[in-house]
Order: sequence, then structure tokens, then C-alpha cells
Amino acid sequence: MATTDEATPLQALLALYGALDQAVIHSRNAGIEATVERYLPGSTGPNAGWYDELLGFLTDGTNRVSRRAEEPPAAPDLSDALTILQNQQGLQGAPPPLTAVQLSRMVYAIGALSHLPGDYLPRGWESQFSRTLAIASPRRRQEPGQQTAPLSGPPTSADDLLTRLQNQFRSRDDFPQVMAFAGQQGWVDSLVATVPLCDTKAMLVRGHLCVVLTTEFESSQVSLDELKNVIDPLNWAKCLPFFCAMDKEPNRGDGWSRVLEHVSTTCPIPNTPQMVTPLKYWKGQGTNQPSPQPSAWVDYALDDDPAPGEKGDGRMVVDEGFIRMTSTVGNSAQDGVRVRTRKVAGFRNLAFFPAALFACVMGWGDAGLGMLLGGVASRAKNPTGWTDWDTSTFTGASGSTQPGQPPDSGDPSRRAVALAVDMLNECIDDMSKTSAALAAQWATGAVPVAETMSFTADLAARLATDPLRYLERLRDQTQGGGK
Amino acid sequence: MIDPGARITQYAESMRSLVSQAGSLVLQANDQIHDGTFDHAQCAKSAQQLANLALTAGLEVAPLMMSIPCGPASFDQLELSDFIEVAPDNQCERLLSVAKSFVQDGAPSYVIPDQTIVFVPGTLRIYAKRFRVATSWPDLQSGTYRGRVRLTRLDTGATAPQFDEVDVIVDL
Repeated sequence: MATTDEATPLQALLALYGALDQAVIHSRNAGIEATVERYLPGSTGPNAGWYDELLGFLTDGTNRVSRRAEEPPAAPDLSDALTILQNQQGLQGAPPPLTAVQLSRMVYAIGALSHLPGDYLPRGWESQFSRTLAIASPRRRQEPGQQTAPLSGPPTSADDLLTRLQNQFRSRDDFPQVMAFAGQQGWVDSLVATVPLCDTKAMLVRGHLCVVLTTEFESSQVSLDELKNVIDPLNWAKCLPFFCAMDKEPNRGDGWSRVLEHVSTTCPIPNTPQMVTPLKYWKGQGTNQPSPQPSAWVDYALDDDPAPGEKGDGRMVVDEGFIRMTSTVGNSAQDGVRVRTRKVAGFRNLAFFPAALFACVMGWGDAGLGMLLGGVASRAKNPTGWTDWDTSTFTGASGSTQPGQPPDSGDPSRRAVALAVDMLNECIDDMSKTSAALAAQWATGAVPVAETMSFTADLAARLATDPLRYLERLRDQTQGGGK
Repeated sequence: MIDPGARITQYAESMRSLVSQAGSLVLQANDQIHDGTFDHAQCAKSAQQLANLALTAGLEVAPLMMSIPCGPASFDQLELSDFIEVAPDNQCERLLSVAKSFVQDGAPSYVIPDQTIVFVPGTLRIYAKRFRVATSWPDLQSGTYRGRVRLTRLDTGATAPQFDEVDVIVDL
């Protein structure tokens, strides 16, 4: 059954980026394609059409965990998306406002859109863009529950920001400077101005093509202790609108904690599709060895041993990373903290580009940054119901499987070395057989992408490490054994 | 049209050539070990030869890899840790190596194979005090790892190697 609700601000935010993709598809214009490629590298050419693929993924029928499941609101077009974003704050009962990270992504998208020809933009687009940019200004960006009367027109600062974006935002690399200037001028909130660009990489992890997002950020306004006391994943749904719920599950036998993560672009609308993922996480702390700076971290990964009844939807094949927090002043109680995060995400049935864009725009890979920018202030205003920091303790019970060990060292004779080389040759033969099987599949028109990626990863790993491994064995002999 | 079978055969041939050359170098080193002439200098030379060989082979193989239809164009396989800072040495360069394997915090059985650990830079110049750690291990689970790094002083003139070891916590 289709819901009658209006699309959410997160859907609207995604639609801004979708409008760039649709301009590429519908225009068939090389100039427009080149423009979009400048702002969203890798989104055009064979990857054009990524927005529809992402929408299909998000509304996939297999992602229904309830019999009462409803269709989410239809994705808005650009004009509706701008209206939704303009009205997303200040109304009682409205969805939670966008975070600083999401507002930064919104400004980026509008800046990119402002470089498209007018034919591909809604009527009165300049005014619409300015009104939307205004929600990132210090005056409009307020905490949830505070009412703000709709503006009769965009403030001058929003017009100035739009002009700046049109004149100075010529490519992705220009964005930090434009935002820094906008922050100095008071056109955008200072937190929004400092959000770093999202950098993604592709990486094969255990045979899966994954998006890797690494973020580094520093704040002089927050202490390590304050951040530690909001960083537990159980708190994320309290102030990050992309996280619908973080359900606590019983701890694992090895001392890691469990949480069942629910994320969606339509969290406020009941029974609409969510991605549900069982995670385990570990909270550690110490000094930032060998330097004496106090440091703490949260590591998380897919839970390979979920609690009874803790059921995910299997759409994430890899979901792991860390949030590392380090005091910059040598005292965890004093303001000054640096956050470094990494998220490695592999999606079932979603190509790299839409997966990367989704993770970036929603701020999924930046939960640590989001909690730093919004979580600490949110807890200060409403301190009830938060999960405090509590360092995890290893119990020695069943834990992770052991995926690899250093190889045995020491080959005592020439015969052993020759044998090692023979073994590597056998490995090449095996690889050749695998590659021949792959070639046969290619020849029949099948497209064994996953198998091919796994094959190349295995081969690359051997190419990189085997010669040095043999040398290491020989060197150990000369030094009388192992390390 | 690309014939994937021919491409892959060519690829396998390139790999086999690499293995033969690497094997030749390793056997040569083995002979030197038996002769008692495989000292640190010879070891370093062999390592350089192998590194050059791997680089050359990689460049040769790369275009073939890229020709596999629909295969990803490139991957940055190495993600660097945050910087690690140690006290500087104002006299010698220092070679970095693993002194104690890197183990994930909270999962003692999860050990990164030593041979997949990479230090950037591999050698700290005089006065340098920062380096980063990465791993090429394809089974890595991203997270926080504890290990110990050995900093061996080079060209000290001493007969016995001089080194320091530091415990480190790295995010990988």
C-alpha cells in the first residue's frame, strides 16, 4: 500500500543529486555531461542512470520486514525537493532536520546544479535555490523543536552564497574554499562550513567490491570525554536522521557489544523500507602510543554470530570500520579532539557509484563526525536516555575466526627454495585454469563480474607478497630464525 | 572485439615469466647463504632486485588487467593509518620493520600477517619522526590494531644491529 506522506528531507536531498544524473540522461548533451562529471566524478558515461538504480535498491521488495510494509513516498522531482527542504525545519511534528554534514552535501548539490543550463532547472530556479540555501545559514539552522516562521523571501546572504557558488565553485576541489569563505561571511553555519568533502575509494575486501570512506576532522569546542559519552552506536539514532533505530542486543560471549542497525531515507514514516544490519562493536581506549595523547576508539563490523532473533536483511555484505578519537591537548577533559573515521561498506546488488554517493550524502560513513558536530550539543540540551562510554572487556570466550597467520619461516635447503618456486608455478597454473573458466563464461555472454574481481584480487595479492615472503625466509636463515 | 581467452593466456605467460625471474634471484640468494656471503648488504641488494622485478612485471601486466571487460579500472588497495610519531634520531636513518605482529584490539586471534605490513616511508631519514602503517592483507577487517615496530639504525658502523622498538596503536 502506498503511503500518503510527503517525501522526507533525506529523499529530497538525494533528489538534488538525482537531478544531476537525470540531466545527463535526458539531455544527451556532452557539455552537460562534462559539467556533471566535474562535480560528481565517475557519475557519467557507463554509470549514468545511477539514481534510478539507487532508488530501486532502496525500495527493493525484499527489504520488507513487516507485513504492514508500505511503499515509501515517491522520490520528489527537483522542484518538489527544493520545496521540501525549504520547509523541513521549524514545523511541529516535522522530521528531524538535516545534520551539518547533510546540509553541506545539500549546498554542494545546489552549487553543482546552478551550473546547468536553465532548461534543465525548474522555473524561478534562482529564487528556489536561494531559499533552499538559506536553511544552512546560522539564522535558520536551529535545533529540533524550535519553530521558525517561513521566510517571505531568501535572505540576502543566500543570494550572495548562490552567486559565489556560480562564480567560484568550478569543480569539486573549489568547494572547501567556497565554504570557508561562506562561513566567514556568515552565509552558512560555521559547523556546516567546516564539514570536509567526502572522499571515497574502491577496494576489494574479502572478494567484495566495497566503498571506503575515510574522514579526518578536528574540533576545539569539544573534549574527548564529551565525545566518548555520545559516541556509542546506541546513541546514533538520537540525532542522526538517517539512523531510524539502533536496537541494543545482548553482548557477545567475547565481550563485543551488539546492535541491530536500522537505516533509511524515510525513517519518520512508519513501515517504510529500512536496511537492517546486525553489527558488533568494541570500545577501546589508551594513550595514542607511542605519544601520550589520550585516545579512544569504536571498532565495528558485521556480527558474524548474531543473537537469537537478531535478524538483518543481508543487504550489507561488508560493513566495518572505526571511529578513532584523540585529544589534541593531552587532557581528555579539556576541549580539543581529533576524529578519524573509516567505513568500509559492501552492498549486495548495488554498483559502486550509487553506493558511494548514498553513503556520502546521507553521512553514513561520517557517524563519528556527525556525533561530534551534533551529538555533544544535543546531549547537553537533553541529557536523558544516552548510553555512556564504557570500555569493552575481552572475555576470552568465542570470538572472531582467525583468517590468516604469518607463514612458517625457514627453508633449510636449496631443495626447499626450488620447491617453493615450483609451488608458485603451480599456483599460476591454478590461476590460469580459473581464468580459463572465466574466459569461457565471458565467451558465452555471461558476465561473471564478482568472480573476475575475486580472481584479480587473489592474483594481485600473490604478485605483491610472494617474492618478498621467500626472501624473508632466506633472510631468517642467515639471522638464525624468526623475528 | 577483445578475446578474453587470449588476454588471460598472455597474462598467465607474463606471470610465469615473473615467477621464473624471481625464482632465479631467490636461488642465487640461496647459494650465497650456503657460501656464507649473504650478508645484510647482499640481502638489501636482493630485496631491491625483487622490488624492481615486481614493479616491472606490474607495469607489464597492468594493461592486460585493464583489458578484462567490465573489470574495475583500478584500486587503491592500501589505506594508510594515522601518523605515528616517534622521537627523532639526529645521526642515522632507521629502517622500519614489524617487531611484534599487529593484533586487533578485542580480537586477539585476529592477526595481520607480518609480510603484508607496509611502512610509509619504509626508512625514516635523519631527524624524521613520523610514519604511517598500511597492510595489503586482503582479509583485513578494518579496525584498531596493536603491534610493535622495530626501528633499526642504518650505517652505524657497529657490527651488531642497533635498534629500538615501540608499541603502537594503529587504525587500519
